[in-house]
Amino acid sequence: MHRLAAVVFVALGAAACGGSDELPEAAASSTTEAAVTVTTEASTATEAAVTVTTEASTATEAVSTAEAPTTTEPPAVTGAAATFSAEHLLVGAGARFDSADDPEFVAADQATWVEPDDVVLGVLQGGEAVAFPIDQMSYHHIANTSVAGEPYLVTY
Amino acid sequence: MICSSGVGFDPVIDGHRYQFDVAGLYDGLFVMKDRTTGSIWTHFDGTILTGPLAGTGTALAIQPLFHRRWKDWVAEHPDTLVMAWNDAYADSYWNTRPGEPGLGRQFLDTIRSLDDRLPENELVLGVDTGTGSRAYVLSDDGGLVVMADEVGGVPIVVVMEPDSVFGIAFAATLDGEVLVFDTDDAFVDASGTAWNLDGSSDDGRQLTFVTSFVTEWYGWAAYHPDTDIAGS
Repeated sequence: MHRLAAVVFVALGAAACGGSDELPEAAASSTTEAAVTVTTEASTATEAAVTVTTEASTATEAVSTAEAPTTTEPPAVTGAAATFSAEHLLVGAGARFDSADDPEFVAADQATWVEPDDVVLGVLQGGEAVAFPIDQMSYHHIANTSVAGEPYLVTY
Repeated sequence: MICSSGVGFDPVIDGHRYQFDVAGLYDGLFVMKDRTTGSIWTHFDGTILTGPLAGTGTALAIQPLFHRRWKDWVAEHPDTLVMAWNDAYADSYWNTRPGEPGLGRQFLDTIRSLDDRLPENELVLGVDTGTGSRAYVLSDDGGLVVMADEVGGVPIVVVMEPDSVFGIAFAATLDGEVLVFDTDDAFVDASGTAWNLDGSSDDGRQLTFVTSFVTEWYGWAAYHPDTDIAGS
């Protein structure tokens, strides 16, 4: 068993999902280098030759293929990570958006800027309800928050 | 231009709380970097694309997050709190309409393949049971829709209210019994039990959340290339 490691350097522009209809010139032209390491495992099967002698003493030779012994189970990588394609990753827009870190909450009757038909992202946790209006979340994208004292991560 | 995908997660893994910042784009959806290790995570399935934690199998668990029009949410949860308006970002907040048409070229460049079975910005409820995935179109305006279904062999019940940009799925199996949902405009099972939109019942039972959230089609299709579409 051996490993092949390929290091891919990708020069990327800056962007993120949402925020505005057009990306600002500055953000679009700033280039960031992301170093992405792709590791692939190639396992070579071990061949074992087994000699079988029959009772009739006519020797026959059988060749069987056995799995290479594995010392550690590979981790279960699922979802998008399992099919990751580095060339489709565009890194470098982090500075454009500030996550909402432990944002303050107000009561519903104080949320006068929220219109009846506005869409919110609602969290129910520990007997509490908290609404994150998408008009705010479409800028922040991320709220590192807590509901009823327990951490919760809102993404939009 | 936005992916319209609100996804909630439990940010605690093995006792450590991760915090995140936006890091870029992948498959037309933003990715995020954690402040502990600098690894790049998707906000769509919580897995790690690259960085120190890549290949470890570490992933965030998706939690229920309710897309809902404010009038409906506050009617159902009058004691709700609301993330405060932050004046520091007043110029950055903008009126957002889920499902608005259009995808920028930079978005398109990060998408491995576009799936033209539906318009790219079509709003769907994406459901992933772990053994299969299915998209339910939200575009038909209308009130509550309840449907029993089976995805990847897992019996589920899908609850949507397109007027409110709402959708969620639950396992239909509870305590070893598959509940029958044969009423299509009320979240009531055949035994007469009425269920709330969060999967709770007044008699104290709770349906199990199945990974599901509202999103535009292009993102769901990119992350779930094997998805099928309900009704087709």
